[in-house]
Amino acid sequence: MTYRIIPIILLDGIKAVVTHQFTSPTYVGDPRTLAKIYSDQGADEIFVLQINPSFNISDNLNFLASISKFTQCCVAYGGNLSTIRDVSSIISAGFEKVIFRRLFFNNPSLVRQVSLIYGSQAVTICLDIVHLLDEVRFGVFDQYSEKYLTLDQIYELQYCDYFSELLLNSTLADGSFNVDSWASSFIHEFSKPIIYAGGISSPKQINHLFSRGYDAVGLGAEFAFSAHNTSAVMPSLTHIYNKI
Amino acid sequence: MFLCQHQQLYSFKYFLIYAKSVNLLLDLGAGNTDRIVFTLSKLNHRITSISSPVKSHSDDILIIPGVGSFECLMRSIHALDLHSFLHDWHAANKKMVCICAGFQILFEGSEESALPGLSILPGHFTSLKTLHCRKTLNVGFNSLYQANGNSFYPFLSEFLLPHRFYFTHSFANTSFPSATNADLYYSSTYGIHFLSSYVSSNIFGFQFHPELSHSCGLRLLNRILS
Amino acid sequence: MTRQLINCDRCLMNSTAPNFVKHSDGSCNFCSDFIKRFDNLQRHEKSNLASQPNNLFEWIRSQRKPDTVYDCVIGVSGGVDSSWVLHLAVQYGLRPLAVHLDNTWNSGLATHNVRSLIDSLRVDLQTYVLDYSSFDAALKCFIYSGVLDLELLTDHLLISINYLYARRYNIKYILSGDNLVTEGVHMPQGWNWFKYDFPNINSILRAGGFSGSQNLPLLNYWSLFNYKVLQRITWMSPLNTVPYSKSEAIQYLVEFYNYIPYPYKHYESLLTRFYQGYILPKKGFVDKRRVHLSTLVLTNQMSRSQALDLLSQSPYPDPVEEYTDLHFFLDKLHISIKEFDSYLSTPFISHENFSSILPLWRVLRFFRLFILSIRNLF
Repeated sequence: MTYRIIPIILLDGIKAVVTHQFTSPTYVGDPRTLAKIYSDQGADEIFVLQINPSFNISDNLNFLASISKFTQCCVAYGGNLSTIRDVSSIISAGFEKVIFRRLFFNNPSLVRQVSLIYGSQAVTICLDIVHLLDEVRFGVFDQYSEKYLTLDQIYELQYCDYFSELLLNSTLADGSFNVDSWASSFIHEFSKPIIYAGGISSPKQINHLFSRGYDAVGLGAEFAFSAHNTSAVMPSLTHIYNKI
Repeated sequence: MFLCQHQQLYSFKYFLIYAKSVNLLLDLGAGNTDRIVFTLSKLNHRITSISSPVKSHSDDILIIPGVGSFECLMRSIHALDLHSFLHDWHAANKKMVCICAGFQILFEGSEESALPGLSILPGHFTSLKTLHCRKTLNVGFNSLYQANGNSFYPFLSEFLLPHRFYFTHSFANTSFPSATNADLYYSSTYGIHFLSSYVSSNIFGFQFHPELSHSCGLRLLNRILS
Repeated sequence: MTRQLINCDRCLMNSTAPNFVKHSDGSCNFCSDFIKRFDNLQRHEKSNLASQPNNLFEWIRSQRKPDTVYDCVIGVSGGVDSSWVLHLAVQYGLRPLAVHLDNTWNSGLATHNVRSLIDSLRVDLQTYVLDYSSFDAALKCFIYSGVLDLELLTDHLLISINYLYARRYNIKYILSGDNLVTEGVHMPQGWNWFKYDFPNINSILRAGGFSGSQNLPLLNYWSLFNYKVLQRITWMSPLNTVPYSKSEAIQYLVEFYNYIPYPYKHYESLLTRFYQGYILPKKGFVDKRRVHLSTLVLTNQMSRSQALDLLSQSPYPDPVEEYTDLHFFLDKLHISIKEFDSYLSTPFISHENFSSILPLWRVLRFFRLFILSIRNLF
């Protein structure tokens, strides 16, 4: 089995940004150029995640299509997907997979519909890793909603046919260049591929996560910023890819 | 019209892509085809879409891209009266390039769907779950290994290990069809060997996605279509 | 184009250059001028530094002031020349601040090369990422104006941000990768425009209805006066003061910094690659490779036959890349293929059709040189 290292491009509207705990976005350029750079450098896949809740998919289809068009790898899209029409537009725009987060809790029947039409391999579910006082939970925790699953409930998701992959995303670790402590210590035996994203900044951390049972990792800030000087934008993934 | 019931709720497009001389892009109703269209355009191959069976030339190539579930693809094929068209295409020994779900429908059936496939090739697809694989989805880059003797198309040996192609599928064919006049290629994942490619005189079938496999996939497509 | 072309027998320039003149001995005004300047400039640099260490790097080191963090600014693009300057600066013990202008048209090769270099040399980097909506809109103004130098805006902004960071970090020297050895042959008249022509840029942008000037760090003359005269920030070309072989530099960069070379000069930018490899040849019958390769031939870094062989190939070695770049360019700028075909079918117009500082600049430059020569006499 080969592992995947997936560059993540965060969108704030039509701009590519890097965030710290999904706030304080720093502009890093044109997402179309970024996607092309990562693809040209041999990215396994690319995830494009929209963080701006007011972004209208149908008004920006040409723009979104240009993000995946110039890549030669699988590109997944997540963010503001709430109807079948949204999903259909995204797939027609050139994305191979869709990533659901809030919709998984708010409208699971829609997620099922999508998987019946496009196949479960086209559906990825994203859950935030949320550190509560005495335990870790998984779900959506932001200014709009709070919905969680326990770890046991996560394991039951293995039997759900609506999706094929799980993306565990650490808000706390986002943009911090440090992996979430729970994520790096927990050993996984999950029958669906499981992806971790948040704070990864070195090949050592990546290898450690693979040894913990993750099948893939997502990197945002580490690929966008120069390693030596973390505030300078210089998107590139070869320094990680060449070492794994 | 007997469409997949979910398709009735909204409009979307799935295409059979027909390249080279008369380029026909068949609208089946679901999926991402712009990607393969642009990829083939980059390689200087003209593409045209079709929405129903059409007349064609002997050297035309039909491409069935691979997004969508087995069930929806087969429902669309029946609804658009393409079943005979595809069988006739194969019977006339005209070339077809079939990718992922487009490859799976060539066979007799899949655990994914109650509907049978086209039965152009013998065999069934079983879920990775039923095959007791550690993961229920095979996703990522994997290499090809030749499963049988002489190659129909010697250039395909250039694309074996260490070259890698992008796979994303939950169903696999592990009972390889008997193929005296075809090349079979397999790949390995989670302890099983599965059919990753079937190539005969007129069929280029791939479980993987060459259009998502960087320059390697691009070269493969170019060699096949040239 | 059906007119008979006249070719130089020594370099690769020909009559596609508007001011090309072939001499009776087979050479041309371009190579003759270059040979003369190459010798003169080397003598001039040596005499200026006669009382100083061998090269500019060592001289800058000797000028280091206490309580400073950086010795110089080095603009890095991912190209060979600027990468070599950065390498030499570190090798000679300087503390450079690498500065990069990201106009959102970078290639994967460029970012890989810059990143590899920065990480290996452990040099501080500042990147100025342009607001891409504004830059692309401004670029469209240049395209629709019909002027030839579509790189004028990027080159101008590059100068501006180098000064900006030099000022911000109180650095007096900006080192560029400019050098005679790889780019000494003058660009023919009309093949580019004066990079400091702020009125020209403004005039083109106004004509195109551009309203986002505040989003671009344009360099007006007050700022230029401040940087050059008040802050005394100086541009220097250190590669003219040390032995420099491009092929050896590439070999070293590949071996020690995981550098990946480009097929042609300036091809690290998608925009430059498409502009020089597609637009210029098709719209204006201009092939800038002639200039770059002529310099390499005249400095014995490449044989004339090798250079001619390269020139005979398409500026786009890979047709797939050409197709992708074309569509990327059109999509990013929201230009239809029909509009673009129409654009390509009309000739370039001169920048002189817009306001320009150039006539005044030439007068001022003449007076400056006149005063300097009078001063030298006494």
